Amino acid sequence: MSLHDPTGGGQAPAGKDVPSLVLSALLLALGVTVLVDAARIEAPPGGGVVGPAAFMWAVGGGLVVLGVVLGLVALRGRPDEVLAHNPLVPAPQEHGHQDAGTAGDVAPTSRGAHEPRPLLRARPAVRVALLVAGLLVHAAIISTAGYIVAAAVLFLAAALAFGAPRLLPPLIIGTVLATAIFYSFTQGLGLGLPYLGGG
Amino acid sequence: MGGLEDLLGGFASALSPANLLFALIGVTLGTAVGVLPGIGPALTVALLLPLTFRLEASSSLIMFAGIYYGGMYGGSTTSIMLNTPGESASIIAALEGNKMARQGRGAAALATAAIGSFVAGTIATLGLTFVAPFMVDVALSFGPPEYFALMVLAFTTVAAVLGASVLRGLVGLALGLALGLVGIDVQTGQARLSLGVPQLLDGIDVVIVVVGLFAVGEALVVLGQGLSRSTVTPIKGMALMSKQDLRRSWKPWLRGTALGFPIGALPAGGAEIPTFLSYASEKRLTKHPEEFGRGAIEGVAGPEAANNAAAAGVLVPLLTLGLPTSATAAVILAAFQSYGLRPGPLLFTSDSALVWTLIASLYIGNVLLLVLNLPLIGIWVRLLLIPPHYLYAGILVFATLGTYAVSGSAVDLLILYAVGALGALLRLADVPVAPAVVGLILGPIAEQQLRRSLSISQGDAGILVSSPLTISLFALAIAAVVLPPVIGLVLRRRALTSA
Repeated sequence: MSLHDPTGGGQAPAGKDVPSLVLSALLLALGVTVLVDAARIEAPPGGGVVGPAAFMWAVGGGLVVLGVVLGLVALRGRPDEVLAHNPLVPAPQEHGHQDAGTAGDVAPTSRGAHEPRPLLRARPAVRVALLVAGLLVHAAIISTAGYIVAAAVLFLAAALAFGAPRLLPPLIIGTVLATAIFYSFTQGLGLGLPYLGGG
Repeated sequence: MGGLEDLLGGFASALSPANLLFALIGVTLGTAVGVLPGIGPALTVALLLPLTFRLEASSSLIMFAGIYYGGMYGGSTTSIMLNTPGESASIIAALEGNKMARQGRGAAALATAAIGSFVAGTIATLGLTFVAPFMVDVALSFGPPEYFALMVLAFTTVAAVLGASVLRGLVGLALGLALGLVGIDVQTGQARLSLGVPQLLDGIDVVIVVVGLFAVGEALVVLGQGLSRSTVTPIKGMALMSKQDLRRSWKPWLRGTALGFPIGALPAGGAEIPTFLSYASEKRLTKHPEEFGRGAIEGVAGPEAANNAAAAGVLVPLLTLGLPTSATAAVILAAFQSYGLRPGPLLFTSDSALVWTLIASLYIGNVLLLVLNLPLIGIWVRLLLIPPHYLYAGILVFATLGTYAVSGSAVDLLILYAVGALGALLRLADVPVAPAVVGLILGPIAEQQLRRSLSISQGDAGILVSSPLTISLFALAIAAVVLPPVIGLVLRRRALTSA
C-alpha cells in the first residue's frame, strides 16, 4: 500500500473508521453467502449456455474483493484519499448539520428561540432504541390490533424519539392520520388494510 | 420522421383534463417532497408505486415525471433556505444560495433558481424531443452485447460519480447487484439467494429496498446523530429578482443548460458533475469574483440550470436505451416495468403515443412548476417549519404503509427494517445509496443481456468485445473507475512537489 502513498503513511491515524469496518465484514459475509449459494446451483440442462450461477460468481467475487479492500482502507484509519477521493467532486465546504449557532447575525428565526424542550431527554442511542421498538411493535401488532392502532403507535413512538415536546398532540395527530389513511385506502383505493382484531 | 406530429399528438393527450390533473398532482407533490428534508423524488415515486397499479400507465407516468421535475425545483428551495441539500446535485446551490438567504436576498436566490430551472428545463426538454428520435435510430442497431457494454458503463460511472470515492461507490453498486440476485431466476426457474425463506423467492421488491434505504435508513441516522435545530428565514410574498439580478443570471442559465443537458444525456450521466462544472465556470467568468463564497447570484443561477437540464437529459438514455443513471430514473424504470413496458428504442414504436404524451407533459410540468414556485414560494418555505418530529413520524408511517401495501405481509416490514439498518450503515460509512438502487434495478436486465449475448455466441465471451463500439464502451467503463484515483494521485503529487 505504501507504494501508492506519497506521504509515506506517516500521518497519525485519525481514529478507526468503525462503520466501514462493520460494512467490510458484512460485504465479506454476503460475498461468501453468494458464492456458496452459486456453488449449490446446478445448471439445468437446456438452461442456456450461461447458467443462473455465472452472474452470482461475479457479484460474489466482487463483494469479497470490495470487502477486503474496504477493510484495509478502514484499518488505516484515515480518509481513503489515494484509492478513492474523486477529484471531480469537491468536498462539501460546510458539510454540516443545520447550523444552529452561526446564523445569529441574521433576522430572528421563526423558531429555535423559544422552541419547547423535548419530552424525552435521552442520549441518541436511547432515541434510536425507542424508534426501533416502535417499528417492531408496529410489525408485530398490525395483523391483530389492526392498522389504525399499529400506525398510531408507530407515529407516537417516532414523534417522541424525534423530540416531540408533549405526549397528547402526537397521539391525536397520529390517530387521525392513521384513521384517514385507513379509510381512504380501504374505501377509496380498494386496498386492504387489517381491521382491529385482524382480518 | 414525424417527430413534430408525434409531439403535437402528445400535447393533445397531455392537455386532457385528467392528464393535466395528474401532472399538477405530480409537480405539487414533487415540489413538496423536494422541499421537505428527508424525502426525495426516488422515495416518493417508490411509495406511490403500489398505489398506482390501478391507474392507467400514462397517467401515473405523467405524475411520476412531475414528481421528478418538481423534486429538482423543491430541492433547491431547501438548499437555499436551510443549507441542508436534500440531494447531492443541490450541494452547489447551497454554497452561494444559503449565503444569499442569510443576507436577506433569499427571494432573489429562489427566483433565479426557479426561473433558471424553468429556462433550463424547457430548453433541455426541447433537446430531449429532438435527440430522442435520433438516439432511437442508433439504438435499433444495438444487439445484446452493446446493451451489456452500455449497462456496464452506466454501472461504473454511477458508482464513480455519485460518491465521494470510487471504492465506496462500487460498494454501493455491488450491494445493489447482490440484492437484485435474490429470487427465482427467470430463465431457469432456479431459486437464488432465497436462503430457504419462501417470501424471498419472489425477490426483494424494489419499493421495499428504496423505501428502506432512503426513509428508514435516513431516519435512523438523523436520530443517531442527535437532534439539531434548523433555522429558516421566512419569505414574504413572491420570489422576485431585480433587473440587475436578471442581467447577472441569464448567461449562467444558458451556460448551465449547455453543460447540463449533454452530460445528463450521456449513458453515464447524472446531474452532479454538470452542476459542479457550472459552478466552477461561473466562478471563473464572473465580474464579481469578490462575491463568490459570500452569496453570488451567478453561483445559484448556473448550477441550478445545469441541475435541471441534466435531469431532463437523464431521460434520454432512460427512454431510448432503458438505462437509468440516477436513483430516481431507476425507480421510474421500475414503474415502467410494473406496467409491462420496457423503455428502449422499441418503446418509441410500440407505445409511441405514451412516450410523446409523457414528453409533452414535461413541457407542461415546467410551466406549472414556474407558476407554483414563483408566486407561491412562501407556502413552500413554510413547509420547512413543520417540526421534525412530526415530519419523521409521518415519513415512517408512510414508509411502512407503502411496504405493507406491496403484499400485505408483516414479513415485508421486517425486510424493510433490515434494509433500513443497512441503509443507515451505508450512510455512516459514507457509501452512496444511489448506485445500490441503480444496481438493484438495472442488474437483472444487464444479466439478461449478458446471457443473451453468450447464448448467441455459444458461450464465446469474445462476442462481448467483438465490435469497436463495445470495446470503446468497456474502455470508458474501466476509465471511469481507474481515472479518478489516478488523477487524485497526480494532483496530490503535484501539490506536494510545489509545496
